[in-house]
Amino acid sequence: MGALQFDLLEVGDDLPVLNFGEITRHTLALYCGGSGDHNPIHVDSDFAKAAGYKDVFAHGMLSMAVLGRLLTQWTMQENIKNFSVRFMTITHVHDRVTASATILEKKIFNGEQTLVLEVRMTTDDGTITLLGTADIIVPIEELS
Amino acid sequence: MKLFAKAINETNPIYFDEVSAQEQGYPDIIAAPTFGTSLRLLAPSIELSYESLGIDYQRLLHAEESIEYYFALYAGDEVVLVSEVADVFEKKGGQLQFMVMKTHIHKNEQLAQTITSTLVMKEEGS
Repeated sequence: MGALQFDLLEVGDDLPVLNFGEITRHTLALYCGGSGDHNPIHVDSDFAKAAGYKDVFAHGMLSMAVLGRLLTQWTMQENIKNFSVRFMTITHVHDRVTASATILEKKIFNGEQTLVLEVRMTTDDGTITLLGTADIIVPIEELS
Repeated sequence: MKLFAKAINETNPIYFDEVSAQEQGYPDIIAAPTFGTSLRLLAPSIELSYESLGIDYQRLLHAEESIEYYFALYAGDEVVLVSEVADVFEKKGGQLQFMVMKTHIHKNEQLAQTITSTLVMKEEGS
């Protein structure tokens, strides 16, 4: 991954998107085990229906983890200082999802070159399921 | 950590392959940005389990998640998690009950991450 150049980045620039593809039942089963979130509502259709849902739906944190991948494919993880999201609506099983981000603000904060990103997860019909921000440091030494 | 990486289709081997991580200068595979929340869920303590807090999985939704990062976490790290219920409030005349849980992850007696999770429980039948 090439170092980010603060001077060349502008407010309004988009990060390269990450097309995750379909949230399958297999994805949900793997994430249930891998994340420690064992709420059956994400993997057991019977349980989800008893709770009034049409079917199982994705863990909110699965979507946030995919957003995390978008960030770490763009910059080194140690440059992420804050990562905050609101879960706007449910991501249903079989939805196809994409992670994207845009530079909202460029600033020097506590002496560090800082980018504030708007981050979002979107389903193929355009629904925003997660919306938030990430604060990214661009180390001075990366400019050399 | 490897299963977590697999579940999110992680392709960067520093998240699931020790040798690649070490070749990139890391001590071991890296905990992904949101893995700290999983540490809270996987931690052996029972004091703040969802069951003990009276959380009903059928009515539970995640409202917000915010993570502050101070130090990276790697496989093999010894960490101490301290969780507290930071706030409890209601909206829509009690139809929605919110709980804010704060978790501090310490490594080598230094704060590595602070995670703020806002959970919401819907009133039965709503």
